[in-house]
Amino acid sequence: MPLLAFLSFLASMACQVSLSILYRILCTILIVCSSLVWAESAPKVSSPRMNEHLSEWLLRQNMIPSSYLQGVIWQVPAARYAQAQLKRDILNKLSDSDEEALVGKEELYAFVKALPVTGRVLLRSADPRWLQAHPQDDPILQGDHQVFIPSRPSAIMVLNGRGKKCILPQYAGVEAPHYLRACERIRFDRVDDIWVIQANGQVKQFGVASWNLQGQDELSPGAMIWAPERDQDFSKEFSALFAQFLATQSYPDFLGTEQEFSYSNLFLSQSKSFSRDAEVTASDWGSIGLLQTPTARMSKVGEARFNYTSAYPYNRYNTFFQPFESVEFGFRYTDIVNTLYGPAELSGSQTYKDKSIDIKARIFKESAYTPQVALGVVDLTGTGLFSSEYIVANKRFGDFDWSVGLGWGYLGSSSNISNPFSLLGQQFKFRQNDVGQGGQLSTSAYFRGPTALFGGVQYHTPINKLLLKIEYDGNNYQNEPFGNNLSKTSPFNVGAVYRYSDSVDFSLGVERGNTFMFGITLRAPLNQVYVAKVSDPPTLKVFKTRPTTEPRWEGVAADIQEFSGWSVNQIGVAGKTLDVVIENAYGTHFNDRLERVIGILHRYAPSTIEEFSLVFIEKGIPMTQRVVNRQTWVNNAVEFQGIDDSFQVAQAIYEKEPNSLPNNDTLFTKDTYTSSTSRFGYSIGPSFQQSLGGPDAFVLFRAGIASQFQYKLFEKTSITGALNLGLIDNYGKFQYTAPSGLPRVRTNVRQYMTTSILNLYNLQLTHLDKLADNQYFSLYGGYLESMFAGFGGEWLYRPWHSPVAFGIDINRVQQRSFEQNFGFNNADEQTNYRVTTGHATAYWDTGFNSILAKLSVGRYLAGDTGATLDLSKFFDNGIQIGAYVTKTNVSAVVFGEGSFDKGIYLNIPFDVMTTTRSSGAANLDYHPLIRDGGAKLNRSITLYDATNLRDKRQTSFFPSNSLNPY
Amino acid sequence: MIEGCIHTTVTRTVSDAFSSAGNNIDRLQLNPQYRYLRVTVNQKSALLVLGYTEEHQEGQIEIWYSDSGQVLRLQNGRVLGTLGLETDWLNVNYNPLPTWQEIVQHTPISYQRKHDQMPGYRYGILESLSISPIPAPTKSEIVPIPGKELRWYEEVNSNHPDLSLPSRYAVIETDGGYQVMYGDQCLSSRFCLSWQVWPAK
Repeated sequence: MPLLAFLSFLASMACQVSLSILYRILCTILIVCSSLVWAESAPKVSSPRMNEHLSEWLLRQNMIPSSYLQGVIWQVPAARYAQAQLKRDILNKLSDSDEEALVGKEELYAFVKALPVTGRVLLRSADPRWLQAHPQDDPILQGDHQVFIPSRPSAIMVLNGRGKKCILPQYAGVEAPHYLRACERIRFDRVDDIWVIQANGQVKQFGVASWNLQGQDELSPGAMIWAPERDQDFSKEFSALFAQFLATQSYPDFLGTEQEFSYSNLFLSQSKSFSRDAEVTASDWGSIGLLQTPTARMSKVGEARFNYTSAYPYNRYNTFFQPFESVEFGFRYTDIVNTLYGPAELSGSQTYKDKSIDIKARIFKESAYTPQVALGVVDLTGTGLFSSEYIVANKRFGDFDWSVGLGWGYLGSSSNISNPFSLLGQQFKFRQNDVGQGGQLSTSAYFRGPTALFGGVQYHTPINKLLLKIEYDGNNYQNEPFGNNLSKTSPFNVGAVYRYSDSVDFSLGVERGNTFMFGITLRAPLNQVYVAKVSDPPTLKVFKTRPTTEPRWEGVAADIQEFSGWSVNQIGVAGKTLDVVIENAYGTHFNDRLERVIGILHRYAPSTIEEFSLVFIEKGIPMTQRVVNRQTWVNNAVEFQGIDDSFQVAQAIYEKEPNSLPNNDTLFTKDTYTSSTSRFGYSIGPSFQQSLGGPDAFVLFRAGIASQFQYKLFEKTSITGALNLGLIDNYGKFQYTAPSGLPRVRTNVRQYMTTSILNLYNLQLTHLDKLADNQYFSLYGGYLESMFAGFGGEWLYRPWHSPVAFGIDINRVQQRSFEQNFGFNNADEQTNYRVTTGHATAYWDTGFNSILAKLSVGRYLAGDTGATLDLSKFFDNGIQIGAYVTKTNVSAVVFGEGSFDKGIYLNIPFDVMTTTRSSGAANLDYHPLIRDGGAKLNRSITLYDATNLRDKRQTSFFPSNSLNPY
Repeated sequence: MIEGCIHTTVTRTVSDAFSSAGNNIDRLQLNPQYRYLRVTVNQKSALLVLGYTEEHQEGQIEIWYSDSGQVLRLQNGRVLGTLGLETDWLNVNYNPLPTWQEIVQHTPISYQRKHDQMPGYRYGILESLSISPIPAPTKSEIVPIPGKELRWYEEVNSNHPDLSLPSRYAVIETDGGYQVMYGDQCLSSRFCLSWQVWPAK
């Protein structure tokens, strides 16, 4: 047998270096033989000893060179129930009358019915030495378990929609599409998606047709491919279930019993090309597209993109986001370099800057026969200089991605076809852009006026990082803003994109036949941002042993603070329960910290303690609670947990709504009020403020140091504040004060920014308490924000773990002095300006795409009344991206440029981007224009934030790293 | 530069980004009961501890562990497998595996290596290798080893374009033969590591 195994090894190695046809035939024969050899050498199933770890069992085995650890099969009788149910579900779907369109379902039904329910449980790895270092991945075997190490096969299997198989030799460097081509039972041109089941049981779906081809994994020996044809109409849900069931099968049974080796070896031995994902890149305008024209393509969910392009006379600074799979949006500054911003006395030699917001939505997804279609709007609410609407379709053929679309407005200014909507009425023949105040949704202009056809193709060259683009431009550049018409010698634009790295692209091109274009794009996946916490002490290793002596509880509290940043107020014991009261449970990755805290409690708590009860408080008010079954938690930490649903994991941590603080024998109480140092807390860090796109300079900035501090007077009453010291700025250029027809509640921003370098942003006394069940209130007074001081109160109704909350705040405030010190007498005409402002706010965690909606109705600082709608999307790692609009009873004319208040914001918790756990966050707020209408009081403490621990989502974010990618 | 200042979360991160973790490692107090290996990836170093040795007819296999449980297998100073890294090699087989005695006396020597690479399930990658002596390289991650005369060897991969850099080994003569004190190797076009017997003496 070893001789035959050696022959198998030699055969597979030799075939990869051979090229002659004669040799291929020889290889084929050898491979057939080797497959048979493999089939004969399938090892016997081995029963383990009771309660030994899999790693121990593996180390006891007599490994030979052909032992295939990646294919180890571990069968657990208890897992058979769920797998039997899965099999029944699959059979039911196949026999369902609704699925009559399935071609050949009878054969597949018979195939599935014959498959055994094995109880195979997947393993993250079967390397015994790795398992020894990862006990939670190293199962404890029982007497009724079965494990075997197969010999390394030399074949893979392809299964078609009729349940017919091809057994093919496995080659290094060969991807699934080549196996499909080689299998005579597969009509490759009819397969769109496949499911690859690797020998270790991992399942992945891949597109394999020319329209959806993706970068592929290769196939491990013993892998299976489920390859239904598109006209068989298997749903993707069915295929995913079926693949999951195939992953439980003992693949040597498939490969070892099949005697059909019918395939074309020619395809396999010549197959060395690698499939690639479709590449999507930014256009000159920042959205996904070609050069000047958009496409229907979208980037991956979570991508954030900053993009700069220059094609005379336009320099564009674009920032785009992809919060959802089918929607991208962003904003842009367009610098028109041959046009002045305004009169020299206003803006000197600064060139014109136009602001705009774009949005694009996919309305049809591409399929084998139909294109992907998207609808988009450029300059949605800006001045309308570049406003356009478009509908565009894309169809991919391998490395070529073709697009064709119809553009209206700026995109369609060549008017190369008549507007198809003009059939609906004469009004569609004419377009009137609102260039006046900007900011309004120009519904009377959308899809009207000049219309042009545009399109092009992107070619992914054999140089993997290089893309070529050519497009037909629908703009004739004879209707440019400010009469700035441009010469054009060709309607075709050509360019190239070089993907320098995963986060940087460079673009070059020639546009209008006579203009050079250069661009650079920086991009990052927001939903995957993570930085290892190398500055924090590592998470404690968990052992099953428990201490026998009482610890020094002050030390335990100190360790919890050091490991989690959370402050322990009290530790007590009641019977077998250890009660821990935690205050200031800040930080986005709540459960990451919670696990570290439990690890410390288990390390030090006496062996008699069976349960940890952690109550999280804010200002002494219980917000949420976690009850931990100590033994189950330890078992979960040190014993096998499984990597799929087939293994039941016992619940160790229970979420509860706390009713009151624990009443117990106190072991430790935080000494909060006996010394001034324990009442006082502060933080110091860098600060940076900037203002973009104003007439004085494109960027106005100030950098310095900021400090936040807190002094606790009583448990529920504290003084908080924030100081900022500006060290570097270019505010010498800051001259412009925007006109306003309203009380200047915000437009005196220049004076506030430039009068003093030391600013007291905030200094207030706040009392926060619980009013009744689920109801909270706060009363506060002082210098509430940088421009207003006064007093107010807030009430919030927020049930525990409820998706909805409702609150009301009301405030009486007065304009502060420009110095932002303690005075009120230096605010120009705003001196002594007082106003009563407040809002009723409804909060709704919609559950749809992780969207949080906030709707506020009330009175704003300028005395105007109206509503603010704020929609934000949370990624799983806690990053939040949102947009808001405010419309009040102020007319667009009185409001001024922008017509109504709006903005986009990005909130990035430090937890995802710093090397130590932190409660801070970076808030990036794009507020295109600071106006007086729709201005809200910026309260530094809100009840919704203060009660975040009551929210299920806020305590469920997790780091986007994973233990092991496979 | 930032060391010694009051650290905020941000300055700590900046400091971590621009500092060499190796400096901290070099100052660590080592436990004389353990054997250490200094492994460097992307200019960041970590110490691995020898967990097990396994006897093998072609030379003892050393199994090294990182703090987070990553595994590095070395045989005669060569990578025989990894687990838990950005790129892993599994089932590494040399055919034949030349001893360092043979390499020192008969270079260049050619042989083959077959391995599996993860992620991506790149199973059965076959390489033709040739090893030969080279002068001490001017650039490497090696920490100088005082009082030792190192012989440097370069292992060139002749048929695998993904591996842009050859592997290198620094070997010393010992009483019983030769020992690899340092090695560096790329496991893929994007992932390279170096290892060195630690402490460097």
